[in-house]
Amino acid sequence: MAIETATLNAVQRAPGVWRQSWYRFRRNRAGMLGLGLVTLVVVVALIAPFVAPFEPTDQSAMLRGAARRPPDAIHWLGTDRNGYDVFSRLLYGARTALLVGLGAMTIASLIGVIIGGIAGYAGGMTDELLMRFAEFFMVIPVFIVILAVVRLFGIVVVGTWMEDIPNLNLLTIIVLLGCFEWPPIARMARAEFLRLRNAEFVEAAVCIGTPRRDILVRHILPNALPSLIVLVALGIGGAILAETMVSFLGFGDPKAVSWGQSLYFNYEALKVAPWAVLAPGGALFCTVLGFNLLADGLTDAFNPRLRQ
Amino acid sequence: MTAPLLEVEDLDVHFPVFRGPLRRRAGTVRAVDGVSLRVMPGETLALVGESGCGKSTLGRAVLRLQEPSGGQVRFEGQDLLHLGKRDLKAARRRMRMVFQDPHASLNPRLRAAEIIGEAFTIHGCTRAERDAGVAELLTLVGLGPDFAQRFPHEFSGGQRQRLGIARALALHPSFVVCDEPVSALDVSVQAQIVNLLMELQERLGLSYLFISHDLHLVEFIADRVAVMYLGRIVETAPAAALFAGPLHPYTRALLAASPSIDPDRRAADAVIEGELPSPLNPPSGCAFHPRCPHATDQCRAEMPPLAALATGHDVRCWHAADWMAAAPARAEALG
Repeated sequence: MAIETATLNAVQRAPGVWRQSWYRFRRNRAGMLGLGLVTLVVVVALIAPFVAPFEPTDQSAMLRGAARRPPDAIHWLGTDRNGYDVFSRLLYGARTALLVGLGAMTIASLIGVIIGGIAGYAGGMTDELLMRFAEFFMVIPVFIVILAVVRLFGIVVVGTWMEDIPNLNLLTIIVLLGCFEWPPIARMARAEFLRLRNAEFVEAAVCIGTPRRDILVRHILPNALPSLIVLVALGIGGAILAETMVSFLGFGDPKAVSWGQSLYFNYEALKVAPWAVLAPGGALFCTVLGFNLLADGLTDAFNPRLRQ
Repeated sequence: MTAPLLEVEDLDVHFPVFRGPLRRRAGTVRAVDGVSLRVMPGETLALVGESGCGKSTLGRAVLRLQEPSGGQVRFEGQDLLHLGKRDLKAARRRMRMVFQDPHASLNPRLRAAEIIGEAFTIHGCTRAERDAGVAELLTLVGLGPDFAQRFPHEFSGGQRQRLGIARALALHPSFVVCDEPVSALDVSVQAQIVNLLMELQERLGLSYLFISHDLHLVEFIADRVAVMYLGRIVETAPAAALFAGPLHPYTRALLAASPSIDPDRRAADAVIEGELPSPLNPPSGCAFHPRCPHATDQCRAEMPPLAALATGHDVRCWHAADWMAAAPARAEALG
């Protein structure tokens, strides 16, 4: 018996919930594809400055009269009508996309978990008020707000110290997306906190005298995380898409290298230089698809019962 | 006579019920209604009753996991219901609970050592004290320190319940509420856990409030038994007296309903019919009268008091004295 236990311990070092989920996730082909795509985007974003053949702001092709050139040995994906190297801007665009996605969802998760957590744990009137507040945010058309605020804010800051902040427009978009994408997370957090507040192990923790902070952070939050992570992964894709749309409408950050911006600059030349539109469009497609597949795979991995 | 460890007086736990779109108060569920009981140091008091009668709510209210709506709970001389945050935390060192479902009552994200060690950390022990305590407790409940780094899902049901018991015993409490601690386990494992609980009681001088619906188990483990019906105690007696001569018709029916291999035990009482009435709208008079074969007009009109018929034997029935008088005759007839 003793030997048996010893070998058992040596062979499997107690797989936790995360590791078990990973085992399940690994068997999910779509999820693994999503993970692969997301990894690819992250790697590209990290190594962009080292592998990009041109600076993203390099318009020298224009001077050489080499704008709108189809792909060749120098410009792997051709050049667009401004003389930018499409491939380099594609690589740098991954950084912006990830920055927007992660930034917006970090803000959204913080707000969402705090508000939803309080609502679910406190219950009663607090819950009611906070959830009505969340619904108020859900019915506001995010897009119009972003367009209005970006434009107005761009005018307001002229002449103040804020003008010197690099990529202020992009930051505005990120913050606004974060401030409007939190209600779904808050709803999920509320549901999970509500469910776990009455779980027996939480009661057991109360029984031994655990302070409320520990109950929330140590007992409830870790058990609520899986569902929240799925929403966040889904939200990253959504945020990237939203930023692209804003940029495509011409309200993006002129200084940022974003895929939406490239689409906005080049969509009129779709017939003349399709590569300049297809490349960022394809990259966007892969990224958003990647995050969505990842989220889908995570759902299955964390909640295997849903599948049955 | 020593002072009781736990003294519950007139404890009420009422839940308001709201209905309709305007959330109007539609009534009150009296889950626990004017319950009084005492637990002596080192004693096991069993709380028996069918599901929904409020026995778990009572157990939770005693530990203030559920705020009571009225009454008094005195534990080790302190008035539990009026303790400040800090004093309550100190009191929680001395009273614990073992839960029914060993799957739901252990946090799946924490390892065994973390689950047991939490109490040590909260109550300001050093890391060394905690580690020593965890190892000691794991050995005490028959698991051994090798299991410290495992997650709950790696344990079997019985082992998990041992883990739950170890958690409840951290920092040496004097009083443990066992809320149907074995009813979720296999019969073969039940015996092990019950033996463990009794062995621990002997070694550590624990007092138990043992909530159960298994009468055989109660007969085996309890010193005294309290029978609950619809939020009230209908009979309290020393275990031997209760099982030998139950006086309340409900207790008799319960005993008759539980299968026995002892032919003398097969009481002639009819098995009770019908459902437990809704605690939202309890019957007038004696709560048991709609199901009682011996109900009279007095039973329908007035609630009987919990009257002492023998030392330590209290019954809430108008006709208890008659049953008492009839008991020896019945015993003769049966025996």
